[in-house]
Amino acid sequence: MATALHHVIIGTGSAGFGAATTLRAADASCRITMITMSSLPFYNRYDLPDVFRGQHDWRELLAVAPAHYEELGITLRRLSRVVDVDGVRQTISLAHQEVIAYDRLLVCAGGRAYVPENLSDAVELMHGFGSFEAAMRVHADLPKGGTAIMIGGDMIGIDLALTLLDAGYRVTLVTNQQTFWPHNVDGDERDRLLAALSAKGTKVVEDNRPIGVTQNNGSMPARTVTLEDGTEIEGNIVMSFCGLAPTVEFMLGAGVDIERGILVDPELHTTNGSIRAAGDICQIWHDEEKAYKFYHGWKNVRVMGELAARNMSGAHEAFDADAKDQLDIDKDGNIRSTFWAH
Amino acid sequence: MARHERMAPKPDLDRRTANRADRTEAYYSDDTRDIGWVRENVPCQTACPAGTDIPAYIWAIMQDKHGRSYEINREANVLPGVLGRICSRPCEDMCRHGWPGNGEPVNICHLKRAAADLKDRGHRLNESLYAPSGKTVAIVGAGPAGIAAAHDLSLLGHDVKLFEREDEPGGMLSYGIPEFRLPRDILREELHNALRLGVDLTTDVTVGNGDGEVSLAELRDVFDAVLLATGCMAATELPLRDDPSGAAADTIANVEYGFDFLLEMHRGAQKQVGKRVAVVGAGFTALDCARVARRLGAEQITIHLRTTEEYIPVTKEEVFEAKRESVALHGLRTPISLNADTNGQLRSVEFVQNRLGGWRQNGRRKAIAINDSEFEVECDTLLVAIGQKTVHDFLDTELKLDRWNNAAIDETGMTSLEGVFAAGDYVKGASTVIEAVGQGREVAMGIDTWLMGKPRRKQSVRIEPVEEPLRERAFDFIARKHMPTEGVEERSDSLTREVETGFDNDVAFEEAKRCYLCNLNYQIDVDNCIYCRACIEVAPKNCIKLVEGIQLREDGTYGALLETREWDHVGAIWIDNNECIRCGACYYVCPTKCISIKRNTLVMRDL
Amino acid sequence: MKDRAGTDIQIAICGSAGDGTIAAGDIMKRAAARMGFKVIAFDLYPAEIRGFGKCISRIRISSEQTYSLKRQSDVLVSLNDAHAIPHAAEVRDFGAVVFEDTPIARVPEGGHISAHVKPAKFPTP
Repeated sequence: MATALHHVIIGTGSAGFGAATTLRAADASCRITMITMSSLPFYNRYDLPDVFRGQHDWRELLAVAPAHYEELGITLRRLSRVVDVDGVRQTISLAHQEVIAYDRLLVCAGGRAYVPENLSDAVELMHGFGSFEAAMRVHADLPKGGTAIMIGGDMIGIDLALTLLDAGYRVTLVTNQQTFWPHNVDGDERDRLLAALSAKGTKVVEDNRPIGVTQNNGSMPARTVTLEDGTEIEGNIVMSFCGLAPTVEFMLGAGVDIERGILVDPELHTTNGSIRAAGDICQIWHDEEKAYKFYHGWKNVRVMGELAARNMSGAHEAFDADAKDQLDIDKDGNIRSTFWAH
Repeated sequence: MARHERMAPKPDLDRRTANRADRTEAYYSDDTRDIGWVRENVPCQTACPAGTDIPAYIWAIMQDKHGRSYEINREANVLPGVLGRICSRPCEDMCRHGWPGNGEPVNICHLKRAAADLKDRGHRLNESLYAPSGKTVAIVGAGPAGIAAAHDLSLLGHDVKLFEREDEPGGMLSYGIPEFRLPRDILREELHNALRLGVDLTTDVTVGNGDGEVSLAELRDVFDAVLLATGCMAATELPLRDDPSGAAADTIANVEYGFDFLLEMHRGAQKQVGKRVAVVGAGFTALDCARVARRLGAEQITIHLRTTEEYIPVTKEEVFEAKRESVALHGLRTPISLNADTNGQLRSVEFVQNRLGGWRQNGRRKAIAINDSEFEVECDTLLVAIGQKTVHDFLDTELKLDRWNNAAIDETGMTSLEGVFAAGDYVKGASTVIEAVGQGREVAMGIDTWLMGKPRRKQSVRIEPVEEPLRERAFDFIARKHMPTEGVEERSDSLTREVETGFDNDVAFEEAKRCYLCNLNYQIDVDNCIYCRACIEVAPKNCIKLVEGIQLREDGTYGALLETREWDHVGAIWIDNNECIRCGACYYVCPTKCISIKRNTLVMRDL
Repeated sequence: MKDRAGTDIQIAICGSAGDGTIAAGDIMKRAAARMGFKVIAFDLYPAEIRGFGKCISRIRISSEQTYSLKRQSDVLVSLNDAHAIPHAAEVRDFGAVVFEDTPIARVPEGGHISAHVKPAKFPTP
C-alpha cells in the first residue's frame, strides 16, 4: 500500500494558503502540512491597516475559519520556526527540536522589512508592520493624532500612510530609492505621486538620507530621526518601509541556489528536485531579460503559490512574467497599485 | 562509599582509569588517544592553523589576567593584537557555542584583541630562550609567515637574518590592510617584539637576480638554511572575453589592480578615485579597496561578485560594515570587457550574468555564464581584486612547483632544493594571515629539526584535575557581545581612524564567560555511579545518555555511544562529550560525586 | 468581586509522575480558593511516585458553584509532551495549550505537542 505523498509548505501567507488549497483540490489523499512562525493562521497582511479602523480582534482578521483547515485536511503548525532544511535527506528541522520529513517542499516564507544597514543600530527603536502583533503595537504606541515617520515608503508603507492620514494621524515620509517599491518610478511620475501624497497631508522630505534614530525620554514625541544634513525630524514612531529582504537564512544549508532570494526557473523549481519556491522569497528566471527577477504584490504572490501547487501535482506551467505593474492615482487622490489589487 | 573512604590505588593503575581521585597532580601524556581527545573536543583550537590554546586564553581573561592571556596567544601566534583585529576566524565557525541549538559562537577573535588592549602597559613578554645553536638561517620576506618563523627560530637559538624588499616589515599587514582596520602603531609594536630576540632585519633589500640584489645562491652559500616566505605579492590578471591575459587593464586609465592600489597607497602615494567606483573581486582585498574608495571621496561604490554573498571568503562582519558604509554588493556576474571613451578613460564595464554551478573546495561555488545575458555598468574607476599569485622571478635555480604554481614542500617544509624551505602564501597561494603564521611556526620547527639533526620538542597533553566547574549555567544565556564601532558618519573621511573600537574590561569579561571551556573533560566514574539519573534530570541538553556500551575504535579511542531505552540493557550512564557544554550541573547534583573534571591542554615539551 | 462575575475557567495540567503536576494543581486550587473563587478539581495519577506514568490535575475555577468538571478544558499545560499529546483535543476552540518550546532532545514529526494544537486553539510557548 503506497503511503500518501507528504507536501510541506513553509509560510502561511497568501502564496502558501493558495498553494495548500490548490494542492488539496488536485489530490484528495495527499498529506499537506503548513508551517509558520506566527501564532495565527493565515490572514491577509494588507488588512493590517484596519487596526486603525477599530479592527482589534484577531479572530475577525483570519482569512478563513480555523475549522476550514480541518475540513481540508491541512495540518497547520504554528509557532514553528524552521532552522534548517536538508535537501538530500528531505527533512526540515524546527527550532523546537522536531524533525519533519517531506516528499515535496514549497518555500514561501516571504520577506522581512529591509532596514538600511546604516540604521541597523536603531532597529530596536523602530516599529515594524509585518504581523498582527506588530500592527497592534504600532496602534498602542501611536497616540491620537500622533506622527509616524516613515523611511522609504514602499507600497506597504504608502498603503498604511493613507489609512493613517484618513484616521486622523500625521505622517512624515523620508524618501529614498525604495519609495514606491516594488514599482520603479522616477522623474515626472514620481513627482506626481509625491504630490498626491502631499495633497493627502503627508509631509514629504526628499534628498536627505536618515543617518540616525534616537529615543527621547519623558517629553513627547518619543523619537527623533537625524538626517544627513543635520536636520532633525520628530515623531512618535519610526518605521522602515524600504522593501522586503527575503527570509532565506533557513534555506542556506538546503542545497538550493540563492542570490538575494531563492533562484527558481519559470516553473518555480529550485535547483533541488523536490523543492519549489513562490512569493516574495523567490527570484524567477526571465528568459528574455536573462536575469532573475522578483515579483511582489498580493496578486502575483497568490498566482505563484497556486501555480507552484499545480506543478507539484504534475503540471508544467510557467509563471507569466509579463503582467505589468501599474501605479496611478484615483479620483479621490489615493494612490492605487496593482500591488494591492484585491 | 564516600570518596575519601575509597581504597588506595592498585599498583598497576593505568592512564585510562585515571579519572579516580587518586591522581591529584597534573601529569603528561603522549598517548595519541589523549591528543586525539583534545583535537576532537576543542574544535576551536583544532580549527586554528596556529593551534592557539583558545580555552586557556579565554579562561585567563575571566580571571582578569589579560597579560597572561596575551602570552598564551603569543605561544602560538606572535602577533595577537594584529590577528585579534583582522583574523579570518576559522575558530569561530567551529565553536561549540555556535553549534545548532547552542546559540552563537564566542567572539574569540575580539577577545584576543581585548587581551592585547587591556594588558598592563608594563607587560612582561614571556620568551624562554634556548642556548645558541651556532646555526644561521636566512628568511626572505618579512610578512606574517616570515616574522613568525623568524621569532621561533630565534627563540630556538639560531641566528636569523630577515630580508625585506619594502621599507617596512609586515608584508600584507603593512601594505595590504588599511589602517582603519589595523592601526600601524599596534602592528609596529608587535613586529618589534617578535624580532627583539635578536633577529637581524634588513629592509629595502631585494633578493633576486638584478643589480644590487642579493642572489638566492649567495644566501644558500652563506647561511645554513634559507626560508622563502615571499608571499603572493602580485595581482592576478583579469581575464576578459577577447583578452584572456588581461592586458586591457593596463591600457585604460582608471583601471587598477586593487592589490597594487593598496600597495602604492601604503608606500605613500596619494591615490585618487572617481565618483563611481566599481570593484571586481570577493576577498578581503576587494572589500578593503571599496572601503578605502569611500574614504577617498567616491559616492557610488559597487562590488561585483561572480557568485553570491553567501559563498565569498570574507567574514559576515566585514560585509556588514561595508554595507553600512554604503557599499553595494551585486552577485552573479563576471566582467567580460572594459569600455573606454575617446580619451582612453574608463567609461563602463560589461558583465555577463551568471548562475551558480557546482561546488569547489572550501565551500565555494562555480559560476557559469548565461549566454546572451550581457549588460553594462557605467563607472569612473575600476579596481580589480580577484586574487594574488606567487612570483618566482627572484629564483636563480629551478624550484619544484605544485599544480597551482606555488612552491612545493614536503612535510618538514623543505622545497626541492636542499636546505631551502618555504612557508606562507608562497606555498599555499593567497590565503589568510593566521594560516601564514601557523605555517611559519610549523616550518620553523621543521628547519630546527633539520639543522639540529633531530626533533627537539614534541607535543603532549597535560592532564590536570579541576576541583569544580569553572562556570555557571547562567553564563550560557549571555548574548554574544558585538564589537562596538565608530559611527558611520565619523568614519567617512578618515583612512587612519580605527573603525572597531574594542571591548572594555566589563564587556570582555561578559563575553569571556560565554566560553564553555571545552578543554574540560567531564567524566562519570562508572564504578561509583549509582544510576540515580539525577544528572540526566538536570542536563540542559541531550548530553547524558543511557548506554548499553561504547564502541572502541581501532586506535583505542571511544567511538559511537550505543544508546538504549531499555532499563535492563543499560550498562552505564555516560556523558557524551560531543554534546556536553561543560555547564557543571551534573557535577553539583551527583550524590556520590563520581563525576570528575579534568583539563586537557596541548603543550610542547622538550625532548 | 464584581469584575470576576462570569468566570468559569478550567485548567488541565498534564505531566509525568514526579514532575510536580499534582503539586502544581494543588497550589492553583488553594490560590483560587483564597481569592474567593469556587473550585472543583480532580487529579489522576499512577501508582509510581516518580518516573513512569501520566498525571493530570484538572482544576475548574468559577465565580458560581459548579459540581463537576467541564468536558472541555480552557487551558492545557503540558509538562511532558508525550503524556499530554492525547489530551490536546480536550481543549476547547480558542482555548490555549501551554508548552515548552526549547526542549533538549530531538523528536520525530508529531512528537512535539505543538503538532497537535488544532488551528482553532492558541499555542502558547
